[in-house]
Amino acid sequence: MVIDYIKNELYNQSEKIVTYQKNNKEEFEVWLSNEQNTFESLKKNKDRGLVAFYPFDKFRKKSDKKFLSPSGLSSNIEAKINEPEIKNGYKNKGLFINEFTNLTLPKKVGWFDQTDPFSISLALYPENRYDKAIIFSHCEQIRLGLKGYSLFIKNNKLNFIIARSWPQNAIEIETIDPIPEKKWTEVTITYDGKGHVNGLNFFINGEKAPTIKKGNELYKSILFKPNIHTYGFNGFRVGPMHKFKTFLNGGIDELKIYDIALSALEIAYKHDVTSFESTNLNFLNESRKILLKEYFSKNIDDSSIKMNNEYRSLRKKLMNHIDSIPELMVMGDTPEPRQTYLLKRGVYNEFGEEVFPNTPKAILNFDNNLPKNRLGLSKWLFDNKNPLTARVFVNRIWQMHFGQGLVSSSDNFGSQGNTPSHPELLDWLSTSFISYGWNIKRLHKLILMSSSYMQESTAGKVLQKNDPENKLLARGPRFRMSAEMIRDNAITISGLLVNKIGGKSVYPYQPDGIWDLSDKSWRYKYPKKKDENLYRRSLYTFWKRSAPPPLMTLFDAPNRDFCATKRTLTSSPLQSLALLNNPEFIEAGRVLAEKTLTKNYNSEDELLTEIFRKVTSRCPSENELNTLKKYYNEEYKRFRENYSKAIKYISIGEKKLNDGIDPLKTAALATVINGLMNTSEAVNIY
Amino acid sequence: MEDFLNYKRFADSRRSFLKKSSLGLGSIALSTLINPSIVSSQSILKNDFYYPDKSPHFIPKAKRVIYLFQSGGPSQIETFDFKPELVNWHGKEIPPSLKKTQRNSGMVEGQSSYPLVKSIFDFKQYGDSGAWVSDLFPHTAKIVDEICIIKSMHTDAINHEPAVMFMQTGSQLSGRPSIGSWLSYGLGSDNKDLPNFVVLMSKSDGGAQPLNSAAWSNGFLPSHHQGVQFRNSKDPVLFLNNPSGITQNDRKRAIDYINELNTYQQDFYQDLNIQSQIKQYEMAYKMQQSVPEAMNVKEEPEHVYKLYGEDAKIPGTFAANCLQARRLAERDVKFIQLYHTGWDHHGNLPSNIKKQAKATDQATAGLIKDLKQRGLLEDTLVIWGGEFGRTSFSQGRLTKDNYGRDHHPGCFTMWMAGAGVKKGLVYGQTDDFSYNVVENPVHVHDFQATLLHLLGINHEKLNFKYQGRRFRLTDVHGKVIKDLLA
Repeated sequence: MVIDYIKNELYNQSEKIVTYQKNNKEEFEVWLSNEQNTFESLKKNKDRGLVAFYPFDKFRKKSDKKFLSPSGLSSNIEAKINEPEIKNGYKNKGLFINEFTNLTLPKKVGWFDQTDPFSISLALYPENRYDKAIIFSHCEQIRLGLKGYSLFIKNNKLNFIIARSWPQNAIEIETIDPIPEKKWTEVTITYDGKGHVNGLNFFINGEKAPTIKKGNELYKSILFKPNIHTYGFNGFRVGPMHKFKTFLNGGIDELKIYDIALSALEIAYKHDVTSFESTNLNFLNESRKILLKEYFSKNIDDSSIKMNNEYRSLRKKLMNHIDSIPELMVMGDTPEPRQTYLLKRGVYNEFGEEVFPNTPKAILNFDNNLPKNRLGLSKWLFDNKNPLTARVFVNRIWQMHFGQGLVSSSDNFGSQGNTPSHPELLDWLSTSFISYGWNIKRLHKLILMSSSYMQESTAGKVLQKNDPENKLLARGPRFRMSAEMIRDNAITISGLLVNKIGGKSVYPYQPDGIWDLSDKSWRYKYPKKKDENLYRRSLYTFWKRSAPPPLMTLFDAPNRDFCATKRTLTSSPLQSLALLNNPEFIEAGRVLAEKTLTKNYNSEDELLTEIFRKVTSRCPSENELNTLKKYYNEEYKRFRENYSKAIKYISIGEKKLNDGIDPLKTAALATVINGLMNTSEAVNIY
Repeated sequence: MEDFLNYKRFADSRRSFLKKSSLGLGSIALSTLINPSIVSSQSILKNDFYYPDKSPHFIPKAKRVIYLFQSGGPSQIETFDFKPELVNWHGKEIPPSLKKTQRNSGMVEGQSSYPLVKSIFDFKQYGDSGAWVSDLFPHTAKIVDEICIIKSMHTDAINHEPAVMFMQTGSQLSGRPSIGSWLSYGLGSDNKDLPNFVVLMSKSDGGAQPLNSAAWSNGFLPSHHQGVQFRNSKDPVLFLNNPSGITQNDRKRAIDYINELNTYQQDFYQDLNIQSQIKQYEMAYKMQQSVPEAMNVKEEPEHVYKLYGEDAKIPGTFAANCLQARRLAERDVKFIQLYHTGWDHHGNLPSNIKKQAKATDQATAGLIKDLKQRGLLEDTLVIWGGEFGRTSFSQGRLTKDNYGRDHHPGCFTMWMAGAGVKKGLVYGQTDDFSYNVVENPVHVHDFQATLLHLLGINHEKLNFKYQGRRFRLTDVHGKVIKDLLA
């Protein structure tokens, strides 16, 4: 909304500028009529916008290899240069570059965002032909998308990039002609701060150079912001950079930085003042007039200057808004599909025959009217005639509720997979799933409310022997809960669950040190939060793939390196230890104990029956109740004899204790609940 | 012969288990070595999917492995791969025709020159074998007659994480089972109350390349085959300690009650899997004692510390972990994986490599000597090495006493010692620059095949079907290097 509003304002402003320039010709003609005006003005404005100037004529030695070179402006401090090669330059001395030379300008010199206009001019002396070398940069490394701006020389053509993340969110221009070897060339780059590549220009020796331009409008800030992913920032630099060769043996001189977009006229003037002044400006020459008009509107015409400034500040507003929105990356198709080849024996640079997108004919012909991209693929997948998609999906939901699919190889419906145990059932479920509009909730209900699902899970001796895997579905399902279900179940029955849907990933309890596989100072540290997010469903748990949540992987959650449609369920003593000792489960048991005790119970039997029901969803048998009673009383006695132990035990977890609870009863009941939560019924689905 | 008898006895004692697990004795598979009590799988009663169905391979030479992983890529040129010819080339540009025979990393792409560098450390010959070892490793130098140095290792990967993954799982992309997991899956456990695959990480002095826990992941194998990290903290194994307010005695009672309740549930549901769960709780209880006991290095006498060095008294050091590794080997943990980080010497190599050598050399040699004096070296395989080598040319500037070296997959040095390995052998040869292998190359997959062979496994037969394909540690590659076998 805000963005649309600003965009609309921007549009209006640009219309305003166009209209203004169309209608206000008079003032320009008046100004133009006085020839002297233009010369005077150019002379007067010679240093307009100049914020930094390094002539590289003097070098002050600071130490063996460190030098300082003073600025030509009193407002600037010196540039730091390591190991310069000082030779005759474009004007007086110049800076030449060896393998280890590097220059840094003082902090914030050249600190421009993409919403700021700026110009940079310098003289360059290529010693030879360069495949690709970096001349200067005010950007981050290429692995961070060259965020900032940078000048390269490629086959001696000049290439200037302004990027948020090159090459996607970036604009760049490249000269069509190379600059000559072993000669000085004066180069000026101008940028109007309007985010579009049209506002980016190269001038070679005072004249606008033909260029190739690439890239769409920039929409986010290009300024360096330190965070955990960055590698620091050194400002405006000359010298080698990560992955780029330096401008070896090349020369640089007369570096000037302006915080305005210079006009072509000014650049021509600055390039050679004497010859510029000696030639009579031909006012009848239309092209010269265009230059003068540009100069006039940029430098003389206050209304025009104001309108353009307003346009830029609107763009800045827009950019700040967009910057605050978290960016979600999505996949897109390239305008032209990339050529793809079979790679011989999997070697990445051994191309075999070219391949094209298609789907297996044996499943369903690919409709010729569909585009051969991801849209086409998804339409093919969800074509009602596609025999696979619905079956595969229905089978997975069945697997979720029964522990195993009707096709037990749920990840493989191919010739090496298993055949369905109940083919007609699978067909019927699939076709009804499609005909009800792929309604997943309905599918769950259909399965959960079926007599097959609702059967008891008890396996008599006969069934145990004849159908150990329950392929015939003569009894209800029985399988261990998934890692996520085990944790979710514990916090749910205790009432701790915060039933909030969506949002960012959360950081529940995790043992210390799990993420410390690195000792780098910038490593990610697990945030220890003490908020309601401790009790969200496991689905929201933050997942770091190089150190996944241990509770999850202990209970067979895949580590997400591979796609897994099915988990192999194991049991190990480490799982038992987690269920017994993980503070998350201790806390859940304690909170359930507190809750249960605050209700009025007539007898211990009632109390223990209630917790048994909470954990197992059924009433205890007499034997079970007796065991619970014995256990509870023993624990109560133990805690009574050692009060501080009870306090310690019930203080585990961030959830505050209720006022006025009986610590002994709570502790005793909590340990019994923890015991119950460790029984088979608490972690298995029966 | 004696080995074979031991093997037979071992198998026999598992007879009752085999009957239960419906595998039958007709084919005494590798699974005869599986100890059911610690790694029993829920589904063991209904299918043998979890266990390899191959016939027995052969009698293993090694019963367990201690893998001293030197993460970061130690330079071969400063350690074992002596290159006198580099003295003549020192400071000269590497011939471009040679340089392009190997892939170089993007980290040196910006360099304008690539001067060759000799080792700043001197080399001498040691032992009966006359193996060359640099002055960095005075202790390792004394055990060269016990070890088998492979100078002709080469790998496919050029960056840390893919290279570590490749070494440990046979694939550069994470997600495959690691060597320890394959062994746990293929051979099961020889001990009753400790994990089968233990990981020990030494703390580094800051800034080392991070590790990815996928390097000790079970991948697509069942999760009880994952490496268990023994941590240098008050909870050495995750969730091992009882919560406050609960003593070990209370824990015992709790487990008795849990098992009692489980027994009722078993009667009710007729669910045999509950038996397995009851066992797991007994095992968990045992582990609560056996892990601290195994980790209690304090009971080691002073002369042992002399062997491993003073550092062994500081928990979390490589030396302490070496000592720990020996204790775990004594307790028949099958795969003991140590990680020592900090070998990634892009710059300031001379001073940095010295630090790592000092942190590891004595303890490494101490471990070999200690295993030997206890008779454990006969059936324990010890491996030393990183994920790749380093370039012959300098990364960054070469000065009189300083330089760096970049990642180099083309050749690197590893060594093995102990069970079934030829002692005092120096195997393979690199060129005069230590840039390419020129004789007896050993690819990572060959190394893995040889490792499995020493444990009695044919690497082509140990596989696991996942998503329609049978996967192996060595993928479709690897050959056993017979020359290395005793």
